[in-house]
Amino acid sequence: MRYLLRAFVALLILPASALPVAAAGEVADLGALPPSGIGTWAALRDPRGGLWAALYHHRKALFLVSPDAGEIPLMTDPQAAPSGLALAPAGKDRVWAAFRNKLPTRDLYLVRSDAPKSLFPVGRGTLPLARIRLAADPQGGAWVLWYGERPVKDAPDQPYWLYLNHIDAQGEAGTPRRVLPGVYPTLIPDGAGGLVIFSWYRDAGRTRVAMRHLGADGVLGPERSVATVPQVSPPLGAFLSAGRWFVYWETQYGEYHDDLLIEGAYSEDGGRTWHRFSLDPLRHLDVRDLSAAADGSGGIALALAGRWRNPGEPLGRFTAFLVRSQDNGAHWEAPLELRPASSHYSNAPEAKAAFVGPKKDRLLVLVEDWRNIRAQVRYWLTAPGGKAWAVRDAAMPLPGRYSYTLGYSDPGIHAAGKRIDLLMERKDDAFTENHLIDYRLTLDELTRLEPPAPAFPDLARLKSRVNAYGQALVGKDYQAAYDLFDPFYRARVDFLGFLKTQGRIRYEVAEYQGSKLQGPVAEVQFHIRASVPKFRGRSGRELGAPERDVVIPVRWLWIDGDWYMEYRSEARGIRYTRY
Amino acid sequence: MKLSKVALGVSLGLGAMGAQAADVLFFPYVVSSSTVTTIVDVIDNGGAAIQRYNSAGVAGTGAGFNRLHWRLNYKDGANATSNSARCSEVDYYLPSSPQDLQSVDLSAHFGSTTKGVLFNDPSINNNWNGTIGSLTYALASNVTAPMRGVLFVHNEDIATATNASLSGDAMIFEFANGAAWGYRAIMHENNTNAANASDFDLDGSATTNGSQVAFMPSAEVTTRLFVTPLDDVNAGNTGDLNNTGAGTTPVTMLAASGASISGWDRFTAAVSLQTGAGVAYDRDENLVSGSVGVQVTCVGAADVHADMMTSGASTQLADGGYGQLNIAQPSAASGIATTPNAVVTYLSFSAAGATTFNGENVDGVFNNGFRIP
Repeated sequence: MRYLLRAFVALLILPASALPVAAAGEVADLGALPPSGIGTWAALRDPRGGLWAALYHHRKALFLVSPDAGEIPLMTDPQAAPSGLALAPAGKDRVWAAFRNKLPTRDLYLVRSDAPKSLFPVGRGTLPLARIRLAADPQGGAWVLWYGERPVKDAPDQPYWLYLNHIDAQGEAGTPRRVLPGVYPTLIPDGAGGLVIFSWYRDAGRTRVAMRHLGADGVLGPERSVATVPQVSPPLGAFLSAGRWFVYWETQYGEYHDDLLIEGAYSEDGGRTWHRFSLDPLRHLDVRDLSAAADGSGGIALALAGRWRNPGEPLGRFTAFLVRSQDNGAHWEAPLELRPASSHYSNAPEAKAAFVGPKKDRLLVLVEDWRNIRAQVRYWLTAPGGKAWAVRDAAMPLPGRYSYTLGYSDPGIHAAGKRIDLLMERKDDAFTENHLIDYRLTLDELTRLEPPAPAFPDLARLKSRVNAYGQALVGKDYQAAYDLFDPFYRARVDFLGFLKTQGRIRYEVAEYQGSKLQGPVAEVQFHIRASVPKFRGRSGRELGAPERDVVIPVRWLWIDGDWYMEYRSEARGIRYTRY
Repeated sequence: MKLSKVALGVSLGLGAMGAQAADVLFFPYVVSSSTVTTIVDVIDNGGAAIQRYNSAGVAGTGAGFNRLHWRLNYKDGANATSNSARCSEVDYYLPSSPQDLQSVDLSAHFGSTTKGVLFNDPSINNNWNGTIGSLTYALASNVTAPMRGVLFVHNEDIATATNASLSGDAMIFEFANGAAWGYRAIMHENNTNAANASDFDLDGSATTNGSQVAFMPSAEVTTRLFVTPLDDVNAGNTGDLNNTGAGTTPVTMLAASGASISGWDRFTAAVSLQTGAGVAYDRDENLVSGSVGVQVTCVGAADVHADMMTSGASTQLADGGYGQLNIAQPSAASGIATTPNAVVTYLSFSAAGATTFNGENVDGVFNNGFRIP
């Protein structure tokens, strides 16, 4: 990884004329992540334009990755148990990072990138938990918002409260201020140097959405109620759009709270009055995550990933939608599904939206889509002006045989001026290696990306591959049979492991008999005539099975330019693919 | 609703009024499919003085009164995985004897030539071509696979002293890959010689509301709760299986119209995770909201991640967590009998497609099940 970082850094300092003609986009590996999990990394662009990332390496240590100085350890004490993560700019070329530590002393700590050994505790006995939000102040300090579980005597029915504290550029921290009850600390800039803090909390059997405003003068305003609804679920959050403060959540209606609807509200008078809205065409979509983008002049884009949860029907696969407003939330356009109906055999569990370009007038939407068996990052891009689509549903030309996935807690798209950094996770076929990747592009490169050649499955070749597998079974050529299994199975089970499960069945006939294609997935009718010759089992009894002539359904996948059989074990319900 | 009961000369005896107390064994979850079966052990510890049944279902002691009543309430075929379908019923009077042990594969995957009875059982009642004719101990062998249900085995014990005479256990056996889990049967003994109403009052075995349930990472482990609603004595919903009238009349649970008169085909409860103000805590003590409730009739299942929370909550709980089980009485509706009581059985097993545990390779599959007290 150090080599990659050095190369990455070298590119930054070369004079423009010495830069090679860029292949579209540069891929930088920022570090190894735990194989799975949310909240394990965060990224931020500083005012000078550098892209910072913080990540938990295998959950044991917290590192900051800077554009210039490479890895900066923040918490590597093996006695510690850090969790939670937030970043904010701390000036032109520095960042604040915040995390919660449990051992040896439980507190919330702020640390600045230029002084990584100085940890500033800000929690002060509030018993902080690991949901943290940071916002920079213009003087190089930061506001920090979290929630804590210290019991509050005069409010025994509210076990959790949001707290706000401030740290200045010298590291002097104030005293935490108790803000609102709740467990989801959420804050946005108010557009005038202050902050807007939102919370969701239970009150008399319902959920109240509330806010308080922190003025630029540091004065915290009174609690104002935004809405009261039966029950809420994540996704929930807030954003600023052209002078309006937006907050959104997923409301759970119905006796069993399974009638789901994304709702929200906005205010343009400092939080005194709130206008409600709801995404009714997407009612019953069980939304996993929502990414909100605003162009600053009233254009809003919400990218959502969810699955249909209709009463009486089985749960659908995850799919992605885009909902836009051109008039700052007064009206919402009909949702656009970001994938064709033909891809519904696979999941698209995450989507991100952002307005990019120096004028922030081009909408870029990323979708994590598994329709081609490995996860791809696919994208949509509007033309300047944000109305017409210049690119629709194209795959990003990311290298290698990896699954690229989008993070849950990070916006994913970090754009400033003409520079765009796309943060994603890269997983190998065994799903044991997971790296944080920064895909760097200029706006110009983004518009000129050449997607990889579309994968048109070769039907003729399917039949010959299936028959090759059949011949391998009949001829007991186990290596040939193994080589035809999908790469995810082969990444986890080597040939000898495969061999252990083979040998008992004797095939007389094994051949292709027909297939039905859906994208890169072929449901193949596989005709076999097979028996199990008598053998003495471990119990001492003779076992065997008479010859049977059957047609069994098997699934073949078009990956890496050829057909492979998807490993599925009926009895054990095991498969190694994850689409 | 199918009725598969072979009545051997059912006769309505207008005999003397007798007490109808009984010892009842209750197996709250049994299942059979092409890869899974349920092996039950039934121990009849009662002596000759215990009232059992004759082949016609009349209770008594002495010669000919050597049968226990086995009854399976089940959902089969397309209904097997429906939480809202009512159960069908099949029941037989099957021979027993003092100190007898019957180990039975309910679907007769094993023991298909011995009416589901296993392990070279030569005891007097297993007279294959004799007394039981076309009946079978494998009550689930005559239904459409797959099947999910509840099993009752009971006698007509009238003793007033505590004198439990039946006990048993069940093993849910995934014979295709060797995974198995099980539980002790719930035993209700009515020793008060009271009226029928309390014979099948099993709500004392209900899972305690508020019991805490831990669950593992969703990508590796599926955590499934099996829910068996129970009677609700407080509401007068006694679930009596014995009979409609007085005396030692044959036990039947179906009225002339075919509807179950005892309610065990339609007891309905709702489960959810209600933990503090949310659905569950993650492993870092963060509370997550997004609880979704599941209504179950007769017997059913709810997956913690897929069914009992929103996908937004499930994503935040991807590494697992714990929640508090809430069992509640649903709103009344026609065709069901609502109750606030249920037995909840916890099962965790390797998730479809999972090949790791804690991110580390694991060979083979596993499952782990237990009744939540």
